[in-house]
Amino acid sequence: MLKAYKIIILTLLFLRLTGQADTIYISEQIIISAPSVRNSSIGSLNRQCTLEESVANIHSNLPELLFYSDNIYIRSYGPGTLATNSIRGGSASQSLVLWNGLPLQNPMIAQLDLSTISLGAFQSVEVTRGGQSSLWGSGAISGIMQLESRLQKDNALESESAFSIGSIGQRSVIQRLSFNHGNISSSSLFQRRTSQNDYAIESGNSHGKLKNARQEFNNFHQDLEIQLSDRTLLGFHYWMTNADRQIPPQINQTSSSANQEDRIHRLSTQIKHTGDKSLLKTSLGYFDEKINYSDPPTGIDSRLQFASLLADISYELSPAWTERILIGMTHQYHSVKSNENYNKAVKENRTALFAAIMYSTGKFELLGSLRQEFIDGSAPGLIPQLAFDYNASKKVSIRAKISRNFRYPGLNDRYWVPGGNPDLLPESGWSMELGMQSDFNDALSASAGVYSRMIQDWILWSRDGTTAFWSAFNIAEVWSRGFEFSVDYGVKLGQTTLKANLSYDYILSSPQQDIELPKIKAGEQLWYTPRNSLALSLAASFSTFNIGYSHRLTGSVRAFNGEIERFHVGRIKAMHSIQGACTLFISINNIWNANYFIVENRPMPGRSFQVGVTYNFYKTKIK
Amino acid sequence: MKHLITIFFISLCIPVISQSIADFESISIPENSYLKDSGSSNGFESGKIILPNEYTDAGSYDFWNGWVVSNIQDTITPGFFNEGASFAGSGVEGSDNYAVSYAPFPVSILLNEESRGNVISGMYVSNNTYAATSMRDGDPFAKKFGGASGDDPDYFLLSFRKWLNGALSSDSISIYLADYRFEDNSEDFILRGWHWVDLSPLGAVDSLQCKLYSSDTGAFGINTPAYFCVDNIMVDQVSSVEDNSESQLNIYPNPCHNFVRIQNLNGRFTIIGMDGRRYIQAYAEKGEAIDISELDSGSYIIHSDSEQGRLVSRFTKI
Repeated sequence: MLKAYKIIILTLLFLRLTGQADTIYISEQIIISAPSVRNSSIGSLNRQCTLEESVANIHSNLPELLFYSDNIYIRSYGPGTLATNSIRGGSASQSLVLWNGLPLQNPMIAQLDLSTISLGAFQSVEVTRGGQSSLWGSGAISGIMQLESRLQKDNALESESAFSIGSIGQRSVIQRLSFNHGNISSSSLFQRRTSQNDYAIESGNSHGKLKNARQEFNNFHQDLEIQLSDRTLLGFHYWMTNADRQIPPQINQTSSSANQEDRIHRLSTQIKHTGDKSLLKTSLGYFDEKINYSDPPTGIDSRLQFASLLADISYELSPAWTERILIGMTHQYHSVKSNENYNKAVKENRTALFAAIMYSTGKFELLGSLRQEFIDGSAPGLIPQLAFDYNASKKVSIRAKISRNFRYPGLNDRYWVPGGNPDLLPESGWSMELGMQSDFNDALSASAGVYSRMIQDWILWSRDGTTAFWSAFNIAEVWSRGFEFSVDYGVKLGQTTLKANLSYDYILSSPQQDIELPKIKAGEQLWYTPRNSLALSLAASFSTFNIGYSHRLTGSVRAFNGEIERFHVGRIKAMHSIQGACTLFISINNIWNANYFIVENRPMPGRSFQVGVTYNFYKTKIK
Repeated sequence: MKHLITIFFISLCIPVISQSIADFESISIPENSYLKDSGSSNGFESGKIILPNEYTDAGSYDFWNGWVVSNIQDTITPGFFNEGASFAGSGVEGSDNYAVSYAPFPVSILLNEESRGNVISGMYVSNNTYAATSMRDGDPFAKKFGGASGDDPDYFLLSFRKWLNGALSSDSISIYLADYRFEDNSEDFILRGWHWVDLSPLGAVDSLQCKLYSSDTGAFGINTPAYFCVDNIMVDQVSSVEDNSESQLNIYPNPCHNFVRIQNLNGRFTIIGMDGRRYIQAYAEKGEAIDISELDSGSYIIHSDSEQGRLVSRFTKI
């Protein structure tokens, strides 16, 4: 009886925690799901963007999803072109995107071009704000994003086709074959997205259509999970991306002939073994990426290629129902295959040991963790984190976290010729946050929080006046602080369900001393960091109909050559499901036809539409 | 008659100003390329001029700072890989060599040790092809001058200030390498060809500071590719007649009217105007009267290559 009680408490406790669920066996009869310690969001604000809420999303890419679904800043050069993110005033290198627990960041530039991530194969994207370096390592300074794959779970064989067409030559085709039978789940998916991207430009006296802007993305995903035994799950995932993109001219450029090819192969395997009171997870990944950029008139033909071998192992133990202990190790090996811009064969080994303890009672959850990295033999300082959630009442919970976070310089920062600086220090510093969540009733909830983060040795490329080229320097100490607020409302009126969300971010992020080049004074807001941003989403569903409106206000930002004005963008989407097998959708992006820029001299498209259909033309239960 | 006598005496009494031209022609450069490394001398020397050069060989890549010497004739190819080309297509008057500077920060033109304190009377300046095509068409880092409408009041300016006795003067002389500030856009220009910059108003110098200014400037400094080219840097050397007679062309009368004579020349000579144009190329014997009646009034350079090297002087036609 006591055991059952504990299980119920534990279940309730874990259900509070959002995050990717792992399965823990408490006994052979009872199974509960809970996020692992690393996926728990204790002390953090997180938000899950579920792709299944709108089939239109599967035809888009990650930055487009995040732009409308989460109030984080996406620095996009245009649809399908280079896009990075900034969370809580951090740089693009200060957040991680994880796939099966492995970081996708390009080790050469320590960033990820989010636009290469098409969403057809994913079920959800979970964004956790705040520092997570103690658990996830280098780069998890301002937040992490975790991609969760879609896998068939209902003992069925299913074939799904999706097709969409839109203005500016948008086409998207997805073909997915998935099945689940007994111990095996498999999903094979091919996705092709193309766009002429030749949208009209209206900027000052500049009129016309964007040229040299065609894009083509081909993705293939194979996800396979085999339940080797009741307690052991083997996962196998392959992800190929071929992206061919023309690089359009800026509005202050006559023409462009530049183009970029991305050839990406990602392979990972996972083993998850669940014991009576334990969970063992291992991940092994091999990533190979090639980026070719060429601009024939100028003779530029840049070829970059790297390979990474990533290993991650963690072991969780629950000695008592209130406690969970985690120990783990990661190893990353990066090798630059293109030595054109390096004087030597560049290889890097990073190893980390980490440990965490989670203590939970009905009212209080505490998470403490510690990490030690070893990078090519050197050992930067310990990376600790302490976080808690306190359920002050049934309706109010308080969360807080203090953590040290870091980012190790990218390989280009250290070894690029010219300008790489092998003596660079990692960016590192402390973050603190305090927040409150209130569930007023079943319909209404709100959260608010403040945070402060001081990062020393911020890495910037600059010139010191003695060399003809730019070099990487630890140039600044940057203080980021802000306020976040979000309110959710959901109600069911008869057969109609209404949902609304409003979120607002106020961000200040500034260097603590004057920087000469690039020029910025102490206390001034960093480039491409809006002080204000606001996102509103409204959705209504009735029977088989679903309609939603998303609105995004991004405040003005300081760009390198001036200021980019604030902008409002709205999108409306409507879906209709026919007998559960077929879903039609229409999406109108930038419905108010706003003329706006996210990056200077890179105009964004005006109003555009997309219509599509998703059809499960074959689904049968497997007996 | 009285007037001519006066001029004759003036020409005898004033110090003789001989001229040296730094034209970089004696520097050996492989065909259609540029010399990024001045070797152990820390600069390229020509005439009385030293152009500082810093070179780093980093294996697969090499880098330079300051100045290089080039004979590239490419006026078409945009982009960084054509950083060594003059938009004029050659040196002054079709000569082979010229100098290119990369100047996101000020760069220097030095007089050699024995010439410090003399006057750099001027030099020819041209755009660099990378910079000019960027201003004309824009590139991923720099704007097309005039903007999309053509109305943006853009400019690219090269300014010279002098260093003398350790002090930088506040006076400057500038030339617009591109100017799009005209009301009438048809008057907007990106300098093509070589243009003379008269620096004699700066007076005696130890060195010159050259600095670029652009309307297209952001947090990273000048966005416009910060390059320019120079050729035929002329240095006036003030010296006595005796000192000068052996190494310079002794011209008389100077100023002159319809004829000029060269006391110490037996051979071919060239007369060049301040616009860089070659007006006369002929053969003269010692003291022979050279007919310059066809020339407009103004300053001219006369030079001749002899066994002693290049002999140069300036004269004024009135």
